Amino acid sequence: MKNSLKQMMRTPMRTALFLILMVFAALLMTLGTCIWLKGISTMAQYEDRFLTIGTVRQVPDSFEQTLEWNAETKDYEVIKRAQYTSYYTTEELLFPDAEYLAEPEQRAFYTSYVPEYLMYNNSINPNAIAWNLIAEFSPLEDCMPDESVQIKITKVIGGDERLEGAVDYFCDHTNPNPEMLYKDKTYAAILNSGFYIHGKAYDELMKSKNEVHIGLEYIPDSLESGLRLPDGGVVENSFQDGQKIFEVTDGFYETDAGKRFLNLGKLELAWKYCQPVTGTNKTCLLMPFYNGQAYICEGRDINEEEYASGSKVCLAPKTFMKNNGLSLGDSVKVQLLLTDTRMNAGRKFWLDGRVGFYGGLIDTAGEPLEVFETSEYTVVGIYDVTVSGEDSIFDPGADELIVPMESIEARDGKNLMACGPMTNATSSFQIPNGDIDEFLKGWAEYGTDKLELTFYDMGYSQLKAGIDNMKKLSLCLLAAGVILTLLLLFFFSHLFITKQAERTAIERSLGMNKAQCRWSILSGFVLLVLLGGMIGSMTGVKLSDRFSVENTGEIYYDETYTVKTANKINEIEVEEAAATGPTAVFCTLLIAVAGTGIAWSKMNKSLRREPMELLSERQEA
Amino acid sequence: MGKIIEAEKVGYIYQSKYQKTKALTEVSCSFEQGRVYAITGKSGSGKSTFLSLLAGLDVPTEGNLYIDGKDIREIDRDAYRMNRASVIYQAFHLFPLLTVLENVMFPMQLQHISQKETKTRAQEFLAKVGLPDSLYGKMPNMISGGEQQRVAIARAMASGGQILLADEPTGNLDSQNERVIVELLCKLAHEENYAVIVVTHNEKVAEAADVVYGMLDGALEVVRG
Repeated sequence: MKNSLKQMMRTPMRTALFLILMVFAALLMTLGTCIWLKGISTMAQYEDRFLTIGTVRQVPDSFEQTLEWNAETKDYEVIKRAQYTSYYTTEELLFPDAEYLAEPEQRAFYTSYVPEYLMYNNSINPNAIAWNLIAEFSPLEDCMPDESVQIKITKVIGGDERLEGAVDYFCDHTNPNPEMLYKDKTYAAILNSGFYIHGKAYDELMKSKNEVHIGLEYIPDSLESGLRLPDGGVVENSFQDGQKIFEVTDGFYETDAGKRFLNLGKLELAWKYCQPVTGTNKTCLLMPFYNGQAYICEGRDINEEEYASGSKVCLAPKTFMKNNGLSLGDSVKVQLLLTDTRMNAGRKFWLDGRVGFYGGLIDTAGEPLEVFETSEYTVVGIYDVTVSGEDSIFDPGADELIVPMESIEARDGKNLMACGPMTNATSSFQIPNGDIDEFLKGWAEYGTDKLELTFYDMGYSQLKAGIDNMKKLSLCLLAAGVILTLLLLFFFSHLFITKQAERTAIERSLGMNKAQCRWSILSGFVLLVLLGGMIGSMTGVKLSDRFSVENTGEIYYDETYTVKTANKINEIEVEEAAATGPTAVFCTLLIAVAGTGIAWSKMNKSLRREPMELLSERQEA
Repeated sequence: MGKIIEAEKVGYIYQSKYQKTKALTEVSCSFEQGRVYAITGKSGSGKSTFLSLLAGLDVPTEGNLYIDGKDIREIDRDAYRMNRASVIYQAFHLFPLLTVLENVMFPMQLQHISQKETKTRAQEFLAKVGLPDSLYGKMPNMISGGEQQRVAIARAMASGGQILLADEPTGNLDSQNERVIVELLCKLAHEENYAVIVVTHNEKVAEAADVVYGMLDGALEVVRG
């Protein structure tokens, strides 16, 4: 080996050139391999953290225009309402070749009525007046309620009793032909806060008090049941021709209308003790969790098995848990009273504490609605919500419990108070990352244009494109490295081995056996290959650090709802190039093996020739 | 003096993929130490093939060849070449990237002799062949053909064997160097007790030999001796 190296060193230019080129070839190979592996590893890491979901919205077939009287303008107003021939179901999305990680779902949210719990709206302002009520009242003067008129609330049938005796404004605002009200008569009505005070009352208020903030007038509401049919229709078209104001006379509360007032009164303040419960099949399908507005701050997510089996487990909001002295692992009582398939909980139970509750909590017989399902749910995760201040259609509901959809037995919708088509906030599904184009291709073939799909992938497509480009570059480098390595090995093995056939023949004639000759020639060559491979591989590994996702100029964020901290979106920490060391070793060994293999075959060729023949041949030449 | 090499009806057939060529036919002869043998003949007559067999680089396809009384097929031929027989070529075939001294040291290094002794003995061999020590550190291509052949002879001697096989050793030399080399080979045989077997078609070399064999179409016959 010593002589072998000595002879190599005596052709320094050739040896140095070989070494340098081997370093370069190994560098290309390792760099390509490292970047390729880094691309795969990075993608795999991102793959777990990125989620691609689609939301579904049914496009209205038409818009119905109805006219509604406006007492303030003394004119009819055009009210436009979206019309749907029928509601599509999620089955429409189960077209051939559609691959889902979570199948499409249309979520209902349920209202759980548990008076012993302190709900968010009550906790932030326990003394707030609940303005809507069912009450008896009398006008201060005989009047036509075609504008704001003053009334005195004489008796609260249902609602905040502190309002009994209060003087306020009233208008039969949407009735083009209101009836006279007489000061010596008592009337009963559902009084909802409606429009701003208008008419003469407004002028007087402005004149006498120079009021800047004008309050709202009460408007009456009808006594029909608020229940809906699954197709969105009402269960009861009108009660007593839609009459809203009733004169209270002796025996009034024995009449159908009177009984309805009493029954409606029983649940008038129910909203204060209600919380929304949303059933889903996967937490990430809920947009607040997907987009990071809601995040699990304690405990864990509901797992796949629990979702599939319909376990009685839930995710509960931090404020609700705190307000009720509950902690992780405790049970939450759920008493389902109402069902809503039209919107998400955030549109009824606002994060700022307002509650846009339903009216008409009676059935067609006028009886008050009853809890239809009672359960105890174990809290496995507590989540918190960031309030952006912007009103988003995806906002979660205050006090909203998240439960497995399968855990709700009456999920087909009992006490249905609102029913509607799929919307972006209620209907979603999950597909594999990077499958949007493929999915849309299938959807274009099998889907309907009445369903509008919107996809969210957290920038996955952009990231994947970047990484794919990186992988293409790495493939080019790898191919160039492999080709260059092979060319170099073939060329230099020709110089160092084939052209050294004479040396081999001399060594043989001096008594070296074939194995010794092989070692003599190969040792120096393989050592150079190994050295070049090692230096090149190590340099390649170092250089590969410069090629990282962070250096592509894009910043990617971890959007996984389970790893967030409050008000902060964590930057993804990708473990890059974990295998660069083994890669360098692998590339070096690969080059060494290839070099040895090629050199071995060339050497065998040299050894096959008889030394005498070879040396004599040279002689004659 | 005992026979160091004895050939008994030696034949050799080159076998290629498509044909067989008989290079040697029933060659019988013997060689002793202390004598110079010349094998003459035209190109392609089988001289070099015979020399190859004598060097143990191949074995006869027919007949027997005995080295020190042992069949060449049964001995370790690599060891034989390393310790007993050395070959000198027309084109010298020195290692071009080793110095003159390193070339001579090479066979001894194969025998795992210490570096110091190897160097001393190499210098002695070079002195014996009459090479000035100013050339020891030079590369083979920096010295003349005659000097290169002397280095080749010194390297052959360095292996320690007493059989010196030479294939046209003067073929590339001028007449003056030719004479020097022939004298050197004769001296080695007669004074150092080597068995020198020279394949040549040079008459002057043949004249200096003690025994001359002629080879024609693979058959050997005694011309003089």
